[in-house]
Amino acid sequence: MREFIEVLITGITIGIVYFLVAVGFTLCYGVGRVLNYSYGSFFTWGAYLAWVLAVGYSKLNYVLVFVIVLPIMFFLGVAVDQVLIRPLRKRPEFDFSVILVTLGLAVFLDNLVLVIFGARTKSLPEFLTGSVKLGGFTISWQLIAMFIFALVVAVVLFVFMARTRTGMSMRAVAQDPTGARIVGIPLFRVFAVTFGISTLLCGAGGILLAPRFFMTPTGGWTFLVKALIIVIAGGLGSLRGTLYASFMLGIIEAIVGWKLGLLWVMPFWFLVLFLVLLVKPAGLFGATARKG
Amino acid sequence: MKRDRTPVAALPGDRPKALRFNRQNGITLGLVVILALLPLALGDSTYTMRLLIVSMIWGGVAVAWDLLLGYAGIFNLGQIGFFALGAYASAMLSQNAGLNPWWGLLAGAAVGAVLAVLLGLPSLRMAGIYIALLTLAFYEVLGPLLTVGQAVGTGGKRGISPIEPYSIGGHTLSSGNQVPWFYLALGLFVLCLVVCYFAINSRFGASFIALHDSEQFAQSLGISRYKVSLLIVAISGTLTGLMGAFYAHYTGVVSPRILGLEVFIYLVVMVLLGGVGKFPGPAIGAFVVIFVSDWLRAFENFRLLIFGALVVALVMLAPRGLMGALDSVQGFVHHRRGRHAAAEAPAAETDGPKP
Repeated sequence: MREFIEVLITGITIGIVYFLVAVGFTLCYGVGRVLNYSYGSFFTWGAYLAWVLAVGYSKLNYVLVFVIVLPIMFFLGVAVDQVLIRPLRKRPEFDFSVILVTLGLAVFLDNLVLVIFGARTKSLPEFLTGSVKLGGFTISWQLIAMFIFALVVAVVLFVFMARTRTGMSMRAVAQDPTGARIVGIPLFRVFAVTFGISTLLCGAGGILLAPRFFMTPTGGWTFLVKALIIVIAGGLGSLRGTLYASFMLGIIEAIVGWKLGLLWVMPFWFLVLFLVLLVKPAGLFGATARKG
Repeated sequence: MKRDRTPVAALPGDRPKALRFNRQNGITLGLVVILALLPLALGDSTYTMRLLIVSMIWGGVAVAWDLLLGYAGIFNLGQIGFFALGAYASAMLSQNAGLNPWWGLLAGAAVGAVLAVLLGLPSLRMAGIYIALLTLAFYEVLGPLLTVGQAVGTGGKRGISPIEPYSIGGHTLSSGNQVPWFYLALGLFVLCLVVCYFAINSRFGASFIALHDSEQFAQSLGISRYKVSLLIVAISGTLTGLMGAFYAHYTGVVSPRILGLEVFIYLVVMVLLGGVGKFPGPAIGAFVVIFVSDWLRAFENFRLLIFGALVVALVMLAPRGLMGALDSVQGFVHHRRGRHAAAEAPAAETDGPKP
């Protein structure tokens, strides 16, 4: 029983990190109508940039690593949006072109990592070592640090979306792009900022999860698919659905990994996804998935 | 995207337009004839023959995939899943159940069809964008599933090998002589081309193209999006599973590696390079990709880097691919010719109809 609760705590912590990753994906679609298939590569890039700073070429403190890497991820996202996505917006088959262009970008970015760093797996050290005993449960400091950091980012994101001018324009664009444009919201700037925020969140997730999973150049694909499954299960574009689905699947991952091994995690996730879609075809909180 | 298709026969008693000579079937016929003659010149060069056979296998898959992507507008990203499971089905039947490999072709096609329909049933009811998400998730989960599926005979991470080759009249095909393999592959390739050509240039084809172009209008004419989509997905899945089954026995090995990113991106480049929605462009794209990729073999890790950049460049700069370029050339020539004609007879151009 004690072990089970410890697994549950791990699951919740993974869940909140998955939320960060998945919410970036869903935001990008909700606001900019961009299905970003290179999302997994940004995850990888976040982790490798952190590795460069914290292990490979200097021994920076983790706080500094975050301070340096997150803005880089943001501007990388803005650049991708401006150079690759923006010119496609005037095409009739925008959705299709975006999927293909981001797929190509993903392969390019992954293999750039492979060429630069080689195929050998790398790992980030844990942020904090040791563990603490709380009422009979042993919880590692690493897990606590992950949880607190992810929680802070999530809260900042919610406040940003609710209170700031940029956040509000993002929500306006998500609801009605034409209406938002009429009231003078610069659409393309909002798209770019959204893309930047989404890659930033993804990179943060990459750094947080890198000590738990080994880093490989193509490892990001797993997380793209995890983000996909969370987002479909929660309902595409819905923040609340994403939140619930991340916790649900995080806990399932912890339990399945504990009982059966990590190889079984993805098949179980897919099973859960199918069960959810059987009951609610648009995901837990999706409303507009049905068409025609 | 502008799709290539000949108009459907309009009047009863009219000879079906699909059977008249046009650029689409002209290029296809030319390609097939050249391929059929190639073994006369290259029959001894096992290496080149191998590349050609692989090109034909993937060419068939690329055309079947384009039927969904370019013509029906269904973003199915799990096409290689149909291919892989077709290959596994055939390999498992012959290795674990001892069935004659020829039956595997049927089994592969059936598995491809069933899988496509199973995946289509939930996803085709949803908006197009969900299909892209769900099918990619399916494709990514399949690898781990085949790995943990050791208990049912998938062979785990190492896959199944060796797989029995086909035999004709008690004569087993060997890898030393590629010519019989070549004609077998050509037969399947032609089957894919013919099925796709007639699917595109039929009343049925008109209905799914109409759905893609203007869904509401098509539905107002009584076309059911769900039924038509399901049928087209089934056709595409059948052809892909069939090619997968052949691939298993030809290469003698299937493993979860077939679901790797490399194969996926190659298939994307084939379709893009040939031209999305431009039959038979993707088949031609397959030949280009397989030969270029072989030529780039020395570059190892840089190969995928190049292909990734190529996908980005193609979408940004040449979204209509090789067949699109051909359109432009032809358009240019027509334009020039039209101008010449106008210059020679200016009166005919400006004069209105006379009573």
